[in-house]
Amino acid sequence: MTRLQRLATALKPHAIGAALALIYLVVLVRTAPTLGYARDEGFYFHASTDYARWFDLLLHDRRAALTRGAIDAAWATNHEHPALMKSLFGLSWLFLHEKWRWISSEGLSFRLPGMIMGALGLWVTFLFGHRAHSTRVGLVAAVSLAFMPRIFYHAHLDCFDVPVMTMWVVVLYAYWRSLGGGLGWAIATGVAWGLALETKHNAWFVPFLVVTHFVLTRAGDLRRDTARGNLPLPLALVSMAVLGPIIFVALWPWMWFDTLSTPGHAPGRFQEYAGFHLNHAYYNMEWMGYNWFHPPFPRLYSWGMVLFTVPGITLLLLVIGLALMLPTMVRESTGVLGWLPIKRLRAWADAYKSDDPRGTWMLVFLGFMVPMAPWLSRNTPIFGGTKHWFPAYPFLALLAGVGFARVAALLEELLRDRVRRAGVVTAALGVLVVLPPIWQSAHSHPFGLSNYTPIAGGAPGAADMGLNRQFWGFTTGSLAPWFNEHAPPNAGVYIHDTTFEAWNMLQRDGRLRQDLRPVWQVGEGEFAIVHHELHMNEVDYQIWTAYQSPATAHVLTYDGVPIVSVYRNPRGR
Amino acid sequence: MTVVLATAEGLSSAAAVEQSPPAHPRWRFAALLVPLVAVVELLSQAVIQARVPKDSHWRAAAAYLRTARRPGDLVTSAPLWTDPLARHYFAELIPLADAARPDATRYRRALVATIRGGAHPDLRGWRETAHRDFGPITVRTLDNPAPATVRYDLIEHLHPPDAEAFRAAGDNPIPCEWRPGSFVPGGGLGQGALLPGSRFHCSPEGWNYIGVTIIEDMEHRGRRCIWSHPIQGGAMITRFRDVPMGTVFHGHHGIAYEAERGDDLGNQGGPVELRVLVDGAEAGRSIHRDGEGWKGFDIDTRAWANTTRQLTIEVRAEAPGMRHYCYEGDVR
Repeated sequence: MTRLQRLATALKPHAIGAALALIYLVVLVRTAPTLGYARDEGFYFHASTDYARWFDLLLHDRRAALTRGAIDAAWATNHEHPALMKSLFGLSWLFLHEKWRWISSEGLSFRLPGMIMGALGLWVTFLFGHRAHSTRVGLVAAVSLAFMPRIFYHAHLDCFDVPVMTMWVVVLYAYWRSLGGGLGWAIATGVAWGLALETKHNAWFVPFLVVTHFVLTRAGDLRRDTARGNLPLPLALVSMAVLGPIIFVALWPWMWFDTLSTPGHAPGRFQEYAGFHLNHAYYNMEWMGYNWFHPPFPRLYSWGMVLFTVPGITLLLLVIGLALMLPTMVRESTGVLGWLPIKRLRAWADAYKSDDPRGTWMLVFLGFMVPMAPWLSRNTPIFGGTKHWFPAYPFLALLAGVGFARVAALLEELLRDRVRRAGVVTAALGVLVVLPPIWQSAHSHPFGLSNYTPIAGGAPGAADMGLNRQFWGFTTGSLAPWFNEHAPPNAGVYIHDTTFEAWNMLQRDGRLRQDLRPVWQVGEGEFAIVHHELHMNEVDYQIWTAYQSPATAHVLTYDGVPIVSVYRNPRGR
Repeated sequence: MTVVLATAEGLSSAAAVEQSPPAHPRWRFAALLVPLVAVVELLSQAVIQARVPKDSHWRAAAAYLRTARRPGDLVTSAPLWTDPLARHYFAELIPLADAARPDATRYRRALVATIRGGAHPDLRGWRETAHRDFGPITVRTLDNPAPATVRYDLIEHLHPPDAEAFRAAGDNPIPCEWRPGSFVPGGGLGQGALLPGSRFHCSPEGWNYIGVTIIEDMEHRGRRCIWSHPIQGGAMITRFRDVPMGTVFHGHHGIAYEAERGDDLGNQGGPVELRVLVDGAEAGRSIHRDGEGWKGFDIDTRAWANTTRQLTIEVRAEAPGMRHYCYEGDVR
């Protein structure tokens, strides 16, 4: 094999991963114009713009930009979340929209980095599946992940949930590669974790996963080495411990001052950041017809939402994949048994020990389970719906990919006499298992948070059961055509759960008439809207009180389920 | 102790890959389950989308309802989540009093646009006498087995000269001033029931008024009722004159959702007492405690039946903080 051939072979999986990522990115970009802007996106438009202006100052007057005054003025905005994605959103807006005019839609320029992170997530998931098992596993995993309807929705946004999912899989992939030897992947793990920390706070759970994995899969070595007076540590973990905090602080100018304490010895900015997330307010979330707003939360919420929002075929393949890999995972973890003072168990563990020192499938299993673990506690807030455990989904998809590979092999065997051409059965099955997710995602758009799979009976079945209809007020974007057509000039609209920034971005993007004004009292304008969530019913009744009428002028629906009601003020024009 | 930086060197570099054992024939057939499930999921998705009622179905149901509805009928829909659609398509058939009704006991008949086999909780025990299908929508006609005849509804008479209101914090009750037709300010999540445009204004405190508003009850339903937030060390009083008395005073009371559910730590508020007086004599009382939601009560008024009297409602609470209290009642 020539050097060129070797290079081509090495690059082939990257070419496939890149192609998947590029196709996904194109789909996201093409579908974005019909998706309204979410509350949190509005907050990040604001923060990213402030950060971008600071970067601009840094380019033009470095000394002025690096003063505490300039840094605090720019980075105080939304300082409860780290800076990486907001910096990228802002830089994308500054250069691709404001300076170079490559992207005409201002909203898209903010969203693009988030979309790229979603696409990158597919690329790395594919690589993981390809290297850990086979190309078919990587392909099915990546496509299944891409077209989980909730992932598809969130991948459009200038938010952190899909980016941090990607960063988890990047960190674990790098860590897994580092276990194969070499300093490069260990350093990459540390860098990736630093970037993950800088993306969203759930990355702080990664070390627990890595340590648990290392202990489970290397317990035998630990025992042997500690007996010799050595303590074996994975190089990647050392790299994470060193590089992670450095990158976390280095990329977040807000943390450059008063990091751990103020000059007056008060708790510093890091404690403020940690405190915000450790003591986060509880928001409302509907589950089984009840509005949950404080702990204890329902124990089955997270698993129930996985059941009702991840396509059924993906879940079936996950179950098959888990069942198939369970013996492998046990064999990868037999070293733990060596710690027990039972000779028989130790002998059994030695006999069945896995020959994979990287403990691949235990890592994938932990990658799936650890992000779900916080919801074992009934005190963990549930207001984020599914997005807070997104880091589990690439690993869920990888296990589903393994299930697919085995089923494909069985069907190839079964149909060997009927279908002679190799791979046809696998390809056909591959298409069949990704079709439901693709259809469901396509159909979910632009109502991603209202979508439920056929297991729940779709959106109507979910409404019957009393599952959350939406959050963040983004569905106002779907009303733009109605308002453009029906609102009188300069009409005021009470916009309920939509932020001013989100409404304003619809206008800046040319999707909504410029003359329409958001108003802040229900009785003030010509129209009032209500985003249907159980606990928001009170806004309906406020409008009834103000208008003295319960009649809706328009109801935006998804599969026949009310999403937003529009009221016309009888006292208006 | 020496710290060893461990990589896989010296261990093994081979990845453990799933080893497929030779498949038993039955597993090969079992594998067919996967494509079957995929097909079932695709078909289920198609069925879900196909069963969604179309605009034309709702309009056809509306046209039928316009002809079938008699005065005093209740027009509604089931399941409850279809309510915004009913208020859109049947807008002129659902007045505010019906949409935010206290219960359905006063209606003789209900016409219910039903999808997905839904049932309306207000209409349990009612007898179906007819139904008409409009695609996936069935308009069911239900008869109330025991409809009540309402002689006097407090909400409809909460204005001068039929009613007057007082804030009684000391020996001398202070009359509340009637202010009609004001702008309704505010709105938004967590703001609760809004100050109505017409009300008895009782003090500069924004919450201290008596007027008809709509609260969200503990089941998140809208209830049209008379706001009467209790005050410290006294009572909020509403008097209705020339009330044609019947055999029973039928009513409900509740506290707006966010005030009744309590805070994030589970702290709730104290009870609120409602007294009903006929010509100054107590006819009965009902106490509302957190967790009871939209609570119904009946007070026996047979002693005054078929006479015209002054009816007084007094509302008290020992701990009136966050008691976003509201009641309604009628004479039957």
